Amino acid sequence: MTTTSFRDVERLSAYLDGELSQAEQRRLEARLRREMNLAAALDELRAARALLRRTPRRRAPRNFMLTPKMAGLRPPLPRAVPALRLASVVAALLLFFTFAGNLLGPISFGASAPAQVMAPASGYGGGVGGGPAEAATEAADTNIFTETTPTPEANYPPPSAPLAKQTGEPGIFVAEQPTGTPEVFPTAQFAGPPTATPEVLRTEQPVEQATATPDPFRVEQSLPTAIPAIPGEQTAKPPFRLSPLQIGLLALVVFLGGAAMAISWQAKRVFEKNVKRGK
Amino acid sequence: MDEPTLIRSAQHGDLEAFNRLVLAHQEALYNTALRILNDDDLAADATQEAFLSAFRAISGYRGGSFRAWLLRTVTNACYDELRRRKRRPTTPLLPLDDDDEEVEAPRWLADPSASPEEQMEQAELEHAIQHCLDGLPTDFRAVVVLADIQGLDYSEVAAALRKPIGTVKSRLARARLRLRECLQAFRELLPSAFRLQEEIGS
Repeated sequence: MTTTSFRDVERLSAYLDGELSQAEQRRLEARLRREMNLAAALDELRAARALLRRTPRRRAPRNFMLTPKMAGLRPPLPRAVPALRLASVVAALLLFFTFAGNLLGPISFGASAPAQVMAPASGYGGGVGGGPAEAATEAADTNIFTETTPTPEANYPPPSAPLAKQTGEPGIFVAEQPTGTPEVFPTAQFAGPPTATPEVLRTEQPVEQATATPDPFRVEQSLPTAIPAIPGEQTAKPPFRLSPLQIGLLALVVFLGGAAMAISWQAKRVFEKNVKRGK
Repeated sequence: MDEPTLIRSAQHGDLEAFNRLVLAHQEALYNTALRILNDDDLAADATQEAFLSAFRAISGYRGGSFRAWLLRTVTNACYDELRRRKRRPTTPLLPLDDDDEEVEAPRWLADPSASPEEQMEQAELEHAIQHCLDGLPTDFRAVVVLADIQGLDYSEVAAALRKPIGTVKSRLARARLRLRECLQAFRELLPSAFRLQEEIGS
């Protein structure tokens, strides 16, 4: 064996397994007839191979069959389930957007509300503190600002307007006006022709305020009614009151999701029953 | 149902069909793992792991010898186990008695229909072959187990080990050469086995 090259051992090994080409096989057989060493090496390899082929086979110690759990199998889902799930998700998203829309409304309003509330407060402060002209210009500025930036609130009739009408006094009207300044248009609309155009109103308003002697009583009287009016309107709205659309969407989400769950649960039951029967 | 039909069903997720394939091949996989790992429990674990990964990967089976494909999964599981064992050396594979002699487990006696003498000889032969296999590098051992113990042809061994046929040929020749030398040491212990193989060889 030692005299046989590894190349020859490789050929002999392949010859034993019938893995040589016909030409190679013929050449090797011719050499085997002539070279005794080669023939002895072949016998040794054949003996080793025969011994290995006699290796006792063990029986499997247990069955290696897979259980559905081991295989991580899940019941095949009916085709309707993904569609129902998708529809449920879409409905849930729509529902979410309706809520988001509701939330965004107050947020955009809330951003302008403090300016509206602050403007009259500073106006009054100026009036009481003895700087009416300055306060008047501030109020006028605020008016101009609010006029150019229309807010959703402009649609609502100002709660202070009726008060101004009831009193009928220019002082009160002027005092009320700053509280309603963000709602210049509605005020003008509801107040009607007597005040002519908003521009007139605004130009008149500082003059009135500047010339009139500030009356703390009136101011105090008008403040509590005017300032809480805007936030009061906001808080009066129930925060989680569902619109019919939202109720419909919610019902759709529950229905679609429930249907998907029910169908997949049913499929799972059938699958488990089949697996048990199969065993 | 024939094997290709069972394979197709298993590829569509039919576990029952796959389990029928398991029953048909589990002994080959277990014995391959046992010869490569030389440990009953680890071989059983590797076999189970191999069937699991085979089920997960069966959709990727594209024809050819299914047995070779399955044996590839078990040799991979064995290689993984050997790598783990290298990192965490374990206790001796056979329990030792007080005199440091290996305790022969009854599980060595594979064939219950054989006479006690035959069973003893089978056990001795198995022990000798396993001892010699353990002396081979893992790659050589896998080749010789697949070719000579499982009876795969060169192309099947090449497919199972993902090696070129030339490599398989060369490794098998080298492994046989070394095994022959190793088994010679057991010649006196296994007279009938050697007599028989000499008769076959002549």
